[in-house]
Amino acid sequence: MQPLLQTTHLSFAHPGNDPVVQDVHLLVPEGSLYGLLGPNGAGKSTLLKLIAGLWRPTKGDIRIFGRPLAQQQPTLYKRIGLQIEGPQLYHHLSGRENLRVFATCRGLPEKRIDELLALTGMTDHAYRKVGAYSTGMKQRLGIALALLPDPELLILDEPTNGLDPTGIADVRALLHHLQQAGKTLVVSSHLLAEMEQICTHVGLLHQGRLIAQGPIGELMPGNGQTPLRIECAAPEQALPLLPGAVRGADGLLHLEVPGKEHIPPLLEQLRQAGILVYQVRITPMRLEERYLSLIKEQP
Amino acid sequence: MTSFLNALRAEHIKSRRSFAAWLAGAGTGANLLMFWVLHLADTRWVHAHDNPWRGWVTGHYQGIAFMMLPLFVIILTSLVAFQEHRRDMWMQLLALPTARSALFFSKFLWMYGLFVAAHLAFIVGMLLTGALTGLLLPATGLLGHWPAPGQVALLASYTLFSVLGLAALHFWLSLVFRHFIIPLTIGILGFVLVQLLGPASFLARWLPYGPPVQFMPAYESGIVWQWQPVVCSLAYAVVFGVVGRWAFLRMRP
Repeated sequence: MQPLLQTTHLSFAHPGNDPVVQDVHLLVPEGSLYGLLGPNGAGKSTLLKLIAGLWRPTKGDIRIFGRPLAQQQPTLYKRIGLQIEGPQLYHHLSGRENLRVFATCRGLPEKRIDELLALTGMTDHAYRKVGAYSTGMKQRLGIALALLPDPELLILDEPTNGLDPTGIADVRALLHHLQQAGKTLVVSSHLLAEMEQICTHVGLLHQGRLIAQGPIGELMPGNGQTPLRIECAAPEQALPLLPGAVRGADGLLHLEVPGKEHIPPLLEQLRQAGILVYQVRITPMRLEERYLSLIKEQP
Repeated sequence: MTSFLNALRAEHIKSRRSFAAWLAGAGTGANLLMFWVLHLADTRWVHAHDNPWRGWVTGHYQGIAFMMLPLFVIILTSLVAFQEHRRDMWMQLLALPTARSALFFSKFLWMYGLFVAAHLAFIVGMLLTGALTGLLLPATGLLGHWPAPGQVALLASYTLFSVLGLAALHFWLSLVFRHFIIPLTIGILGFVLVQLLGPASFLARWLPYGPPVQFMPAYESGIVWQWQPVVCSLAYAVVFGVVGRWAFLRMRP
C-alpha cells in the first residue's frame, strides 16, 4: 500500500514549553485503519491537529496525497474529514441543522445529509436539539459531520470517548465498514484493547514520540516468543529476577521467553528466592502489553 | 464568491434560536417599549417642533444613541463570535475548503446585517408606536402629520455608519479573546470613558466609541450633516477590518 500520509521529523512545541510532539515519522498507508494509540497526554490530539493542517509544526514536513500539506490548503479539506477534540456541535441547533450548516459551506446537497443521518443511525433524532442529545448521539453526529465531504482520509480523535459498550461496538463497526469501503482512517484512542480489534496498522505514542508503528501483526512479538503471565506472592521482588518482565494492569507479571523450555528454570529461580508462584499462563500478547514493554525499553 | 455566499447562508442557519438573534429581536422590542412609556410619561416632545413627529423621532434616537447603540453592538459582536468559541467550533470552521477571508467577512457581514435588521425593525416599531400614540392621545397631533422621511433617513444613516468602526474593533477583539467577558468589559470601559469625557470632547471624538454617541447632541444643536464621526467610524472600520482579518488568518483552533 502507498503512503497516503507521511511525516518526517515532525515536532511541535508551544512557545517557551517542552515539545508536545517530537521527531515523529508517521506513515499511514492508503486504505488502512491506522490507530494512533497512547495514554492521555501522549500528544495524540496535537499530532492530529498537525497532520490536519490546523496547527503549524515547529519542525518537520507533512506530505498528504503525495504533496506537501501546506501547498494544498484550504482545498485539502475537500478530501479530508475530521473530528478532533470533539464532537464540535452547535447545541442550539438540531442534528440536521448542524449538518446543514457545514453542508451549505461546502456546497453539498440536502441528499448528502439524509445519507449520513442514515449511515450513523441518527435519522430518528435529526430534528431534536443537539443540547438534548446523549454523548453517544453527539459522537455519531460528529462522525457524520466528518464524513460530509465523502473524504478519502478521515481523522477521528477518540471517537469512542464517553460511549457505553453498545455505543463502542457501533462505532467500531462503523469504522470497520468505512475502511472496507476504501477510506483511509487515522483514529486516535487510549483504549488499546478496543483499537486492536479493528486497526490494520498502529502507531504507539509515548511522551510525544512515536515509539513503534506498522501493521498490527508485525508489532507483536516475533515467532518463537512465548508470552507468559505469572501470578506470584511478591511481584515486586520477582520483577528483577525475570528479564524483560513488566507488571500489567491485571496485577500479573507479563514477560516473553524464547520457548516453553525456558519456563521451568524461571520458576525454579523464583522458588529459590522464596517467592510463591500461584499460576503461570501462556497467553498471546495484547497490544496493551506490547505498549508497556516498549515503554520499558525507552531510555 | 460562491464560498463567501455559502458561508453567509451558513451564518443564517446558525443564527436560528441563537443568543445574537434573540438579542437583536428582544433588545429592539424592549427599547421600543421603554421609549414608548417614557414618551407617554413626558410629552414635552409634542411642542418641540412644528411637526410632532420630529420630536418623536428625535427623542427615540436620543435614547438609542445614549444607551442602545454602543452596548448593543458590543454585545451583539461578542455573541456572534462566542457562538464559535463556546463549543470550539473553529476546529470545524477552519477545516472547511473555504478561504479564511471569506469566513471572516461573511461572519462580519452577517453580524452587521443583524444590526441593520434590528435597526430597521426599530424604525418600523418607532413609527407604529407613534401612530398608536396618536390614536390613544389625539392631543399629540401625531395622526394629523406625516413623519419626515428625510429626518428618519438621516438619523438612520448616521446610526448605521457610526457603529461600523466600533463593530470592526469588537469583532477583532471577540475573535482574539475567547472569553465573552473580556471584549464585553473592554467595550463597557470604552463606552463609560466616552461618557465621562463627554461625547463632544476632543479625545472622545477620536475614540472608536465616540461616533455612535456623538452625532445626536450635534444634530439637536442644529448641525444637520456631520462628516467627522462618519469618517472617523469608517476609518476605524477599515483599520480594524484589516487587523481582524490578519488575526483571523493566523487563528489556531
